[in-house]
Amino acid sequence: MIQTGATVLHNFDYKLRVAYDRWLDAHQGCHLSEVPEHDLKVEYADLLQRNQGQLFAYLHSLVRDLDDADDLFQQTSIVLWRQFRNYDRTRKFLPWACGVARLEVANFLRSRSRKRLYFSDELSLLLIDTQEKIEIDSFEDRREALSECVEKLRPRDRELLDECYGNSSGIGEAAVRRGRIPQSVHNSLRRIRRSLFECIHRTISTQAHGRENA
Amino acid sequence: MSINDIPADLLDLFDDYIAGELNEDGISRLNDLLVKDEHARRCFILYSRTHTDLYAVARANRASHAALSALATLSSDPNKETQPSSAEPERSTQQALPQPFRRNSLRTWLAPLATAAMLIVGVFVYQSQTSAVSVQIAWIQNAQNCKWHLDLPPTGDMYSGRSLQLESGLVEIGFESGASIILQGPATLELLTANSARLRFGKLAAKVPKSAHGFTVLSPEGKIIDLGTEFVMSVAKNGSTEVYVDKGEVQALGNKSEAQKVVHVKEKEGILLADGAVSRRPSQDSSPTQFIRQITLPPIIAPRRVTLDFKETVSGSLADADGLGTGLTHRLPGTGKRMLQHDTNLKLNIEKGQLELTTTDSDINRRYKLEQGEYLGFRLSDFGFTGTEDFSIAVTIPEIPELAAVGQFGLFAGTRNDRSIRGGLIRDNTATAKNSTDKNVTIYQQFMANNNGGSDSNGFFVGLYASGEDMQMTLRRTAGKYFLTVGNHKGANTIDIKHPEFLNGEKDIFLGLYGANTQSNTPQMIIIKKIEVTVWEQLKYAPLAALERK
Repeated sequence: MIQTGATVLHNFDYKLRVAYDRWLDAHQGCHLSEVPEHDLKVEYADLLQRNQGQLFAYLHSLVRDLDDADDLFQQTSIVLWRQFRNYDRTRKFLPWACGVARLEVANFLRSRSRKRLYFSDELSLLLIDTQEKIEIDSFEDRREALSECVEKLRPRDRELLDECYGNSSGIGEAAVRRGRIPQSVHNSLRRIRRSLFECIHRTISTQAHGRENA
Repeated sequence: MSINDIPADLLDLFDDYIAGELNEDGISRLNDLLVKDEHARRCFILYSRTHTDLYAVARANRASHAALSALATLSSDPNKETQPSSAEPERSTQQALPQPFRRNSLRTWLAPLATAAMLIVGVFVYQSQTSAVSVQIAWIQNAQNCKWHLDLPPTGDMYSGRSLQLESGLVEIGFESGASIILQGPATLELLTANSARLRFGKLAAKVPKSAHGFTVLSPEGKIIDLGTEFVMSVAKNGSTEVYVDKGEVQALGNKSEAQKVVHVKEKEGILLADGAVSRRPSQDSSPTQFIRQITLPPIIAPRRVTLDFKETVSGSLADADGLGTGLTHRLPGTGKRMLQHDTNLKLNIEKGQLELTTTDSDINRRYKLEQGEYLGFRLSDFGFTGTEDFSIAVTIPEIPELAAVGQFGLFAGTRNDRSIRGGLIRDNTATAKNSTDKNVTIYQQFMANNNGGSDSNGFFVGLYASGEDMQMTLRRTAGKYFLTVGNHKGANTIDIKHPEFLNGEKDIFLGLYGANTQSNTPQMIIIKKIEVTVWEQLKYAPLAALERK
C-alpha cells in the first residue's frame, strides 16, 4: 500500500516542504499579528506550493544535476520571497518565478567555468514561455501515470532505475555491479525512459477515453 | 504525447543531454533546435520532466523499502502487541476512543509504517544536506471515526505543505497560532503556515482566538481572513465556497477581486465565493446545521470486573462442603433451596486452583427439581449494573466430563428460575464417537435457549464437542444482545438466538454457571479453573474522571 503513486509522490514533495520550512524558519521575524505581512506570507506559501513541482523541474532541466537543482530551488524560493512585495499580481506566478530562477541559474553558471555546457539565456526564456502553455494538470496526471508505469516494468529494469535514480553515484555503481560499461547502462536507461514515456501516453489516453465514455 | 511524436534525432539529443554526454557542439546544436521550434521545446519539457519525476519515484521507493524493513523490526517486538481478553466483547475495544487508532486494526500497523516512511523519506532525501529540522505547524487534537486517504493518517508530519485527505470522519486540528478547526470528511486541507491553510474541498468549522487574529483559509475561489471569530465554510467540488459567520467578523476576498474590495462579513451573515468574486447571501436567522462544530466523544465505557481463580477463599461468599468461601455470591433465585449452607456439591481446591462442582439432577426446562439445582453466580447490581449496561461471564473448564443424556452445563443470565437465557453444552443422546485412542467418548452439542415462564423456547443446537476436551465458554450481552461462545483448542463458535425481550430493562439480573445431570442418577464433577464477570459501565465523564473514581 505504501508504494502507490500518490503516496510516493507525496513523500517526494516532502523535500520541497522542508526547503520551505527552512525558509519559514529563516523568516520568523515576520509577526503573524501584523496582518499585511502575514497575509503576504500566506499568499506566497500558497503560490509556491502550487507551483513548486514546475519550478523544480524547470531548474532541473537547465542544470541537469539534482543536487544543483535542490540548491537553486532553495536559493530561488528565498529570492522570490524577498521580491514578493514587488511581484506584479496581474502576471502569473510561475513565469515570474521561473524568470527569477533563470537569473539564479545564470548567477550559478557564472561561478562555473563550463558555461558553454548549458543552454543559452534565450532558450531559458523560451522554455518558460512554452512551459506556460502546457496545462499544470497534465503534469500532475503524468506524474501519477509514471508511478503506475514504473510498477509495470520488468523487475530487472525497475531495479536498474532504482539504483541509478535512487542515488547520485548510481550509474557508475550499477555498471560495476553488472560488469558493464557505464555507456551500456546509459543505453538501458534510455530504453526504459522511452518506454515509460510511451506508457504515460497510453495511460493518459486510456483515462481520457474512459472519462469520455463515462 | 507519444514517444513517436518526438523526432528520432531530437530524442537522441535529449537522452545525451540528460546523461551529460553532450559536448559543447552537441549542446549548441540542441540549443539551436529548441530555440527554433516550439514543438521541440514542448517535447523537451515533457521528456525532461519524466526524467525529473523518475528521481522522485526512485527515491521515494527506496524510502518505502527502508520503511518496510523498519516495520519488520517493529513488529518483531512482542511487547508492543496487546491482545484483548478473549472474554472481552469487541465493542469495548471499539469504544476506546478518543485514541486515534484501535487495537488490532489495520491502522495500528499502518501508523508506525507511515511514520517510519515519513521519517526515512525525510532523512533519505536530505541525506546530503545539513540538519534540516522541519517544524510542525499544526497538531491533531481530536479525531472521530477517521478514514484517511490510502489509510495514511498524519502522524507527526503536519508541516507546511502537508495535504490532509480525510475520506470520512471528523478531525480537530490545532494550529500553532492557537486557531483550531474541525474538518469534516470527505475533505482535503493543505497546511500552509502556522496560521493558515487551504481548503480544497469539503467542510470545516473554525474557532479563532485573539492570538490567532488573521487566521486565513484559502479556497479555490478566494480567501477568508478571520478577525477573531467562529465561522464555518464549505468548498464544493467545483471550488465554489460558502462561508457563514457564527460569531464576530471575517474578511472575504475573491481570487479575481482587487485587494481593496475586501468584503466584511459580520455575525450571522453568509457569503458565496464563486467565479473569483464574493457575493452576499440573504441573511439567515439560524446558523447552517450541516456543519459539525464540536467533536462529541462517544460514551466512555469502563469495565468493572471480578476474576476468580480459586486460589484463595473469599469470605462472605457461597461456602463449599468445608465451609470455604468460593467467591460465588448468589444462586439464581428459585434454585438450590435445599442446598445446605456448606454446599456438599462444591469443593474449593485451593492447591490446584479450581472449583469442583458435582452436578445434580435438575433442569431449568419445566422447572425440574430446581430446589436441588446448582445455578451459581453473581448478582449484577453488585457490579454497578443498573439495567442498561452490557456484561459477560467467561469460564474455563478443562476436561469436559462424561454426563449421561441429557446432562448439561453452561452459563445463565436471568432474574429467577423461570426467566432466563442460558446456554452451554448438552449431552447428545444420539451421537456416539471414538477418540483418537479408540476410546468411546461422550458427544455434546452447543446450545442456547430462552426460558420465560418455565419452559424452554427458541432452542438452538449446533456443533459437536467430545468429553475430555478443554474448553472456554462465554455468555455476553453486547449492545443489549446475547451471545454464547464456546471454544477449544481447535477454535471457537459463537451462537445467538431470538432476543429474550422479557429481560429488557430488568435491573436485578443474576449471572452464573450451572451443571446438571438432568434425567439421570449419575452425578459428574465439573472442574472450573477460572470465572470472570464483567459489567461495562457507561461513564458520563472523561476518562480522567473515570480514573479518579477508581
